[in-house]
Formats: sequence, structure tokens, C-alpha cells
Amino acid sequence: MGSSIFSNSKDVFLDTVDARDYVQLDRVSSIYQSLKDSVNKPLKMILLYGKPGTGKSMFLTKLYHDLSQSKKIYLYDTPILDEKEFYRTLAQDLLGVRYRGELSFTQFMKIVDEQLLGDDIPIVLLDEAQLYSSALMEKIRLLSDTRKVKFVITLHKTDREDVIAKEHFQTRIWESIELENASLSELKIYIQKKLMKANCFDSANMFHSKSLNLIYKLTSGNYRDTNKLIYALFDIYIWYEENNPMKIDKTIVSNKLIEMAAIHTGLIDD
Amino acid sequence: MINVVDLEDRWVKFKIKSYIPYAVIISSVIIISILALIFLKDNNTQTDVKLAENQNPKEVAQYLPSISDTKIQQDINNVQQNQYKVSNIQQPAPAPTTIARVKQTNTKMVLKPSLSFMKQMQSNTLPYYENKQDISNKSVEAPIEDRNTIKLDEIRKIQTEPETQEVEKNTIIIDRQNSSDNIQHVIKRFKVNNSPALSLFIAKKYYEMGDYHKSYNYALITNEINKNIEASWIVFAKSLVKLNEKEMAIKTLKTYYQHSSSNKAKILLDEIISGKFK
Repeated sequence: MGSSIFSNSKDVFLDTVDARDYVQLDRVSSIYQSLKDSVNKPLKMILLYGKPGTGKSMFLTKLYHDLSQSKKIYLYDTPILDEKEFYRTLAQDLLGVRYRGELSFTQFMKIVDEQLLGDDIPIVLLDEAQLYSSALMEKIRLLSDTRKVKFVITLHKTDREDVIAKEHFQTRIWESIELENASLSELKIYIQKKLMKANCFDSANMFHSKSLNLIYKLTSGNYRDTNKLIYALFDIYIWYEENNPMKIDKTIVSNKLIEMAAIHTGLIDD
Repeated sequence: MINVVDLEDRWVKFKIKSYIPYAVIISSVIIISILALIFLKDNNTQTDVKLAENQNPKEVAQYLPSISDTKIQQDINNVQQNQYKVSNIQQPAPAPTTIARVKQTNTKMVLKPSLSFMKQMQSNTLPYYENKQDISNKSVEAPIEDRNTIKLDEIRKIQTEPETQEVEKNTIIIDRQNSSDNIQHVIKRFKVNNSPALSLFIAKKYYEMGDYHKSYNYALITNEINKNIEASWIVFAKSLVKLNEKEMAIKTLKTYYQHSSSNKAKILLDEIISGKFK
């Protein structure tokens, strides 16, 4: 089972955020480049927003991965919801000081102002920023106003997040980058490149335009949904390979199996 | 591990569900097409009937020369014989043998629709009842009725102009009665709801129009739907008498009288037997 082509292909579509899994697509690459350029600009905050599954976390991870050698960059992929814990963690990462006791925002601001010196402004990457409280977001804004720390935050694009953006970031000098679902052609390249990157050439050749069109129809080009769907698809292929190999065609992906995978993942209501 | 067997079942259900809208759309389209076809067909038959109705006068006009040539000739002879008996004979007519053709400019004919198309429709729509129409094949045609409408003085004029060899164009006045349209409408309604009241109405109407064959048919239909309608049996018997089936009319009325003790049936029966009703 482990040596099966389907097994290897299935693992490619595991829903994990790993910079090595980043697939370079033309539009995505240009967005990523503009994000990298924004980081080098004297901006206080950069907002990265989009619907769930459009690759925001992957962008942050990739940015962290790419800049960690050259810059002081810190990634918080899981939100620190407790305010004091947030200051303590930041103080430890930015200043290398571990505070055991209480650390208020005023104390933290004072420390940052006194101890963070130099041209190399640290960059803090905050994923899932919509989970932070409004009060904490306001303090993050004040922190960015000191120009001692630069923040790159990701938000889900919802009405609520739009309000947050208005309240906290409207008057600040910042840049916002929107991420969108893949187009049909991008999704085709994404799947092919992902499989070929893992040397799953046989599996990559199985995806003809008919099956890719169906996948796009089901996922609307959402990367996370696509990963989930193809993962389930290869899982089904593995089952057939073990239990009823006569029922599968290894030269082309069956639309029936794609639909079965969609039912399994909830993309289709049966 | 995914439960693929269960997933296959769910997929089958999903597929069936996904085809339901298409099935509904296709079946609706088929039903609508069938309804549209039926509607169009119905319209076509109606237009055919109208066309036939419009063509009737022409057909009658085509028949007219032959009528005037042959039958009118005989009528002239008959009327001529009667003329001698009438006091106001003006001049003895020359020998009718010299009349080769009738000058038709002065012959005004009042025609009623022949309703021959009705028979055609009847044969198409009521095959069941047609099997029972073996009583008389004699049909009363409108042209024969028309013949009777030729007035005596007109024939006299014909007699006074025996040398006329020319045949001019016919000028025919056709009185078109709306009653045939009405009957047509009632027949349509009858075909929809099969009401004995309507069939009785049609039978009576045909009887009034002198189409005894049809009045017999519709009275028979009425009797089959409801055998207790007195008026229907009366029309039925009267139509039989008019169709020269007197014996059968008497027999039918006797049977009905025994069954219902209807006074009207008794009166009519007596009239038929005594020859009062012909």
C-alpha cells in the first residue's frame, strides 16, 4: 500500500501549511513578490486578506521561510488571545527577555521604545488576526505607530473583518493585499505541479481537462477544498486498488470517483 | 479509511437526485408538446370544417346545372300538369320537349347548408354509434329540399321562355343559418361532458332541420345514456317514422309505453298507427 502511486499522490494533498509545498503560479507569484516588496517599504502594517482556503497562511509561512535568514521575522500562526501572554511572547521574541511577572501594555511599549534600536525593524507575522480582540488589535496598531515593529496580519474577508479594518487600520499607512481562489487554468497548473513536484507523474497524467473542470466546478478554485477533494479521491483509488482493481482505470481520473470524493468531503450534498 | 461501499450508495442517490430536474423538465416538455399537438390538431379540424362550410355553396353551385337540367325538368312537367287545373292559367305553355335548357337568371333558390361535413365528422368521432345506423341508408340531402323551394311562378316564367337556349350564370341566394354552428358547438360540448340533455337538444335540432338520420342517431345516443327520457324516445320514434321505419317506430313506442306508461308516447303511437303522423 505504501508503494502505491495513489498513496504517494494522496500525501501530496495533505492539508498542511509547509513552505516547501508552495506552488508557484504566475498570479500568486506576482502577489507574493508585491508582498515581499511591501515588507521592505516603510509601512507600519500590511494586511493580507481573502476567503478561507485562498492561501493566506501559506503566504505568511512562505514569507517567513524566505526572509527568516535575512531579517528579524517572527511568525505567530496560532493567535495568542491572552493580552499579557501576547506581550510577554513578543518581548521574548523581539528583545530576548523573558518576563515572568505581569507585563502591561504601557510597560511593554516603554521597553520596546528603549530597547528596540537600529534600522533592522523586526517583522511580526500574525495569522488569523480576526481572532484577536478589538482592544488587542488597537494596541497592535499603537505598537506599529512606534515604527519599531512592523506587522503583517492576515484576515478572513468577512463583514466583521472589514469593520476591524476600518476601525483600526484606516488611518494608518499600510498596504492590503487580497488573495483569491484560483482560476480554472491556475487550478490545473496547481494540481499538475503539486503532483509532479512529488514525482507522481502517472497520477498527474491521469488528470484530463474533463476531470479538472469537474474539480474546479466543485471547489470553485479554492486551494483548501481542492486539496481535501483530491486527498479523498486518492483515498478512494487506494481502496479500489486493494479491493476491486478491475473497477478503476489508471489512465484517467473517473468523474464518478471525483463526485464520490466530493460527497465524502461535503462539497456535494447527497 | 473511507467507507467506499457506503459512498457508492450515496453517489447513486446523488445521481438519481441530480437527474430529477432534467427528468421533470423533459417530461414537462413532452407533455406540453403533446398538448400543443392536440390543440393544433383540434384547430386544424375546426378550420377544415370551416373550409368545408365555405366550399359548400360552390359545390352546390356546381350541382345546380345538373339539377336544373334533369330534376327541375321533371318538376316543370309536374307543375305544368297542375297548372292546367289552376284557374289563372294565362297561356298554354308550349310543349316542354322544346326546353333544352333552363334560363337560370331568374331562378332564385333558397338553400340551407347540407351539413354533409357533419356526417364525415360523425363517422370519425362516433364509430361506436355508427354500427347501429343500419336502419336506413337513405339520406335526405339539402339539394332535394332546395328543389322544393322553386316557386311556381318562376317555373311559369321558364315555361313561357321555351326558346331560350342560353344558360346564364346562376345567381344563388344562400341563406346560411347559424343553427348549424350552434349545433356544432353543442356537439363539441357534448363530446366533452357526454350530457344526455345536450344530445337530446342536438337530436331535436336535427329533427327540426329535417335531418332525421342524425336526429335518430342522437336520440339513440341519448337513450343509451339515459333510457328514461320521454322526449328522447318521442324524437327517436318520430325520426324513425320520417325515415320510413314506421313499424320499428311503433314497436319502439309500444315497448317504451309498456315500460313507462307515458301519455305522450301513447298519443304519438296512436297518431303513427292511425297515419295522422307521417
